[in-house]
Formats: sequence, C-alpha cells, structure tokens
Amino acid sequence: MKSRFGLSALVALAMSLPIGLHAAEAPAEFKGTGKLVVNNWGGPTVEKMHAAWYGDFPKATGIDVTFTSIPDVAKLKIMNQVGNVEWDVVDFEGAQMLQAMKDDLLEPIDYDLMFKLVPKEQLDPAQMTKYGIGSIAFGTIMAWNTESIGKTGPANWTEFFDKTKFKGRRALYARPKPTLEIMLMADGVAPKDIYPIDIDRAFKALAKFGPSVDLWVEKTSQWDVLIQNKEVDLMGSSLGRTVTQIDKGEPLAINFNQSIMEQSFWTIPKGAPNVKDAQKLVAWMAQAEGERASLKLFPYYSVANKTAYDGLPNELLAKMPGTPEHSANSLTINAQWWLEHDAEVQTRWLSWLSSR
Amino acid sequence: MTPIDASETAEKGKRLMPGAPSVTLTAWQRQQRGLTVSLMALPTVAMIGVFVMPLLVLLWMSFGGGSKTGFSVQGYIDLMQPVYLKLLMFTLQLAFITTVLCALLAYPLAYLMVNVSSRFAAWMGVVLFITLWLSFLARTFAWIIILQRRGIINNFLVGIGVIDSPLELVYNKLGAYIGMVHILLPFMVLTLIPAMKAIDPAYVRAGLSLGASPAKVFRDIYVPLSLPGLVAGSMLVFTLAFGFFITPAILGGGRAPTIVMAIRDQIQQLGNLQLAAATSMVLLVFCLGLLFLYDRIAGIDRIYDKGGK
Repeated sequence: MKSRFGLSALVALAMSLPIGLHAAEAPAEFKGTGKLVVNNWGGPTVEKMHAAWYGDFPKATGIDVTFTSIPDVAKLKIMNQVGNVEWDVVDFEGAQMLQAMKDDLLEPIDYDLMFKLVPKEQLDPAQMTKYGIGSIAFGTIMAWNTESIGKTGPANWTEFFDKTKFKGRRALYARPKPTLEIMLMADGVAPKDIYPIDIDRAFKALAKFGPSVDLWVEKTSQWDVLIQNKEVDLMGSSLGRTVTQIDKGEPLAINFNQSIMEQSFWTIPKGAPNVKDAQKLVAWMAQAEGERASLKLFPYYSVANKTAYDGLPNELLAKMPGTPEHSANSLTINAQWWLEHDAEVQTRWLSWLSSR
Repeated sequence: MTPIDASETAEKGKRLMPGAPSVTLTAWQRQQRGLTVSLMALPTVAMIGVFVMPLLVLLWMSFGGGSKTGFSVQGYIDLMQPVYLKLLMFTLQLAFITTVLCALLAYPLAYLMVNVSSRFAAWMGVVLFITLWLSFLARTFAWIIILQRRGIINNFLVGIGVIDSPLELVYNKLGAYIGMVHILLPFMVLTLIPAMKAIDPAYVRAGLSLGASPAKVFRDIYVPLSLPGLVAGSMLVFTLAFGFFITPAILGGGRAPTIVMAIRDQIQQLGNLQLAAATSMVLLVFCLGLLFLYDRIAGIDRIYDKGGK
C-alpha cells in the first residue's frame, strides 16, 4: 500500500509539472479534434507512464488519447490487409519495427513537425530513424541475491556461469535473444564485437553454459515471483522488474557491466485512422518534460531526449542504464541482425531446447 | 414411440423432402417448409462463418495467400525440419499422458458426484466451476507458489524432516503435467457427469439381483454405459492439451517445449504467417487422423448415445 501511495504522489507531481509549463500553449499546427488509439505493452504501470509522458496533450491540443495492448506485427499485417487499421501509434520493439518496415506497414515520422516543438540537438540521433523515434530502451541485466551469493557478485557473464565461484541456481530468458549475446559474452567476446553474431560459436557456447541454467523464464512477470520466493540466486533478468524488487526491499544487487539494452520505437502504422494527429502526439512525447517525468516514475529505461536527464537526482541516475557511466560497456541489441537471422536461429534454438 | 407417431413423422419427412413430385403442397405446407428453411439458415450460416471460413482462410494462408511472395508450398517445405517432428512428438506425448491422467482422476470424482447425496455433489460442482472461472495464468502462478523450492509442499516436507533438500517439483516436465492435469480435469469431470447420470440404476439393480458381484456389475455394466462420456471427455481434453501453451511454457521452465510455442514464435518473432498457417494445418490433419484412429478403437458415435440405450 505504501508504495502505491508513493507512486500516486509521484504521478500527481509529474503531471502537475508539465501542466504548469504547457497548459493551452500548443502551437496552432498541433491543434486537433480527433481521438488517437495508442497501442503499447499494457500491464499495471503503463497508464501512469503514459500520463507522465504525454502530460496535458489532450488538454493543450484537443486530441483525445486511448490505449490498447499489445504491439503485434502479425496483427497489424492482417489489419492492413483487410484495410482496417485500428492503431494510430504503436510502441514497437526494434526488431518488430524492422519487420513492419519490411512489409511496408509504417508511415514515416514527420520530423519537421517534431522540430517545431523539440530542438533537434536535444534528441539522440541513434534513436531517430525514418519510421520510428526511440520510445524507451529496456534492459536485461545481471542480478544476484546478496544473501546467498554475497555483496560481490559476478563481474561479467563469464563469472556468471562460474559454478565454483558462485554456487547457486541460475535463470535466463527462454528466448534466443538476448541469450545468444549472453553466451558469446560469457565465451569472452566483448560487447562491441558481438555483431554480426557468429551463430555456430554462440550455439557452441550455449551447449557449454546452457546446462548450468536451472530455469528458463517465459514471461517477464515471472521475475517478481522468482525473486520474492528466492527460487534462483543468479539471473539475467529484466532491469525494470529487478530494480522494482530492490526498491521493495529484496536483497538483490545488479551489475551494469555487459548489460543488454533493447530499443523500442514510437511508430505510426500506414493507414492509421488519424495519421496527422498521431504525428502530433509522437512529436509531443519527444519533449524533455514528459520524458523526464516518465524517468522519475520508471528510472530504469533510457529515452530519446538527452536533456531529460538534466536535473535528475543522483540516486535516480544511479539506477539508469542510459547514463554515460552505465552504458560504457553495455550492448545494444542489433535489431537488423535479428531480423535477418531470426528464422535460422529460432529453429536451432527450439531444436536445442527440445533435445534436453 | 407409438406406431402412429412414427408414421406421422415419416409422412412429414416425405412432404418436406424437396423434389418429391407426387405430393402437391398446400399453402400451409409451403409456409411450414419456408419456416424450416429460414430457421435452419441461421445455424448453417453461423457454422460456415465461424468454423468453415476461418479454416479455409488458414488453408489459403498456408499456401502463401495474402503474402507478398505469392502462392507457394514454402511453408510446408520449411516444416520439413527434424525439430518440428521432435516438438510434435513431445506435444503428443504431453497431451496423451495428460488425457490418461485426467481420465484416471476424473472417473472416480464424477462417480462420487453422481452417486452420493446431491448436496455434496452440488458443492463439488461449485468448486469445479470456480476453478474454471479463474484465469489460466493465475492458476499457473498459484501452482508455482505450491510447488517451488520454498513452496508449501517443500517447506512442509523439509520441516517434518522427510527430505533434506527441496524436491524439484516445478520448472520441469513434472510441473508441466501437474499444471495441465489441474486445468483440464474439470472438462473431463463435467463431460462424464451427464453420461453417468443417464445410466438407468435399474440396470445396476438388475445385475445385482441376478447375483453378480458389485465389482462385476461395475465392470460389465456401469463402465461400458459410461463410455460415451469418457470418449467425449478424453477427446476434449486431448484436443485442449494439444493446443496448450502458457502452462507448459511457464511450469516447464524451458524443459517442456511444445509445437504451439513454435507457432507462437513463427507469428510473433518471425512474422511468418504462411509457416504458422502451414504448421497449424499439419496439426489439424494430424488431429483428424488421431480422431479417425480413435473412432476405430472407441467409436466416436458413442458420444451421441444416451447412457443405457
């Protein structure tokens, strides 16, 4: 209960900030009357996040926003085929965006419109692509139970699998991405040399390190249960879920070395009912105020607007993957590589999984 | 049925038969036929719209319909990899064992519910229905709480000193089976109950009064009469288990990969709808083949029998 009150106070604070700055200030070209449907990942936190993110957009522009979940390229493809696209803005993962681009399902982002609201130099160029602008990046990170493993945990993925140094049970995602990357790093490949992935070497490393993984995790929501019940001691877990559990008092420590970040993007589907207003919302969400408010609520994502980090307290910055210190030796998932090799990897992965 | 009824039905049938030229229809009869046809139209359209059409669309997609690459058998060629056979075999095994376990557990349960006081039976029915209403995911996580290393069972067993270190009850195949049997058991029980209720107690009494032992009466009279329910229930459970996804994925801890997980990846990760449709078609054909086999062994038409007739 306590944390919920804390959160709602934060939301209230976060929401009051942009309202003070922006109320009824939207430039004329941002006005509208329509209703937007934003498709994103759902879950208990998503509404708070978006409230922080778009702030007073409906009030300032007259455009309403509603939400659905969850982003699915196959679904979009079918909606596109039958000519009934229901989503105006979609929060796609990097690989999903590329997949959607391959099938010509996306509308280019109107950067001219965006720069009228957000100075170009504030935005991270790596996150500005033709069909999508960075929404958040989420992390997979090394974490361990400080009671069973101790204050000092594995310094890198090689140590993570060292059974003599760290006795305990290990858990990883039951997915080839980012497991192959983790296996290669454990095999001694530096993050900057991972791509293009040497698939044979990765599977050889998987054959070597894979058997010491006691538990393969299917859903992100499982981390909460696994951590609270101390089912595993070492994990390559969701940064967001892990930080949330640490804040709740669970005895865990994390290490940003060789952490893995995966970038998501705001995209606008081709044939969306309200493309024009969707461009306005996407531009609006790139503003520093909203991104900062969302970082305060969820200090474990990274965002596109670099000035969003300005003025954040140090204890928050300490948890954030996007700071220079934390991203120094991190790995960003190469979505293009995965798009090209997913099919091949998937069959080999399933074949490995089913041969045990 | 009296003979008069029967002849009347036959008469009506003849009159309604289209293209029976010798009979001239009165206005009333024509109207009656129109009514029959229009009443039948709705279920026919529903049957086609809800069941036949989606299947045809799936078949069309499996040959590349709607895709950019045009028509091809690529989806089926891609399926010719040993991994899919392996996944299919494991999925079959999972579904088969789950069905057998469900049948073994459900039969005595249903027998109890039918043959003891109705109040007790009503309570058990309520409990079964409540289980059905809860979400799969919630029940799956509930099993984790019970079965995990610091779960209820392990804590108890370690606490009373039966075992030293916790048993591996979940995040393996055992966990997957426990979860699946739990979730599918109500379906088996609920199909068995009406079949058992329809058994006329007179048959059992007759058997007993003619001197058969209770065990013999049960084996030779009760069990055969309840078979329709068992056949229907096992078909239902097998089909559901075959397509199960989330429970074995979570409780299996990566050790119970099913063919449905591959389909999920084909759609969500690869965006290859053609391959996913082809896999589904192969599964469908496989299921139909099994059904055919089952019909030969157990006789599916039993489902439409009433107990005791």
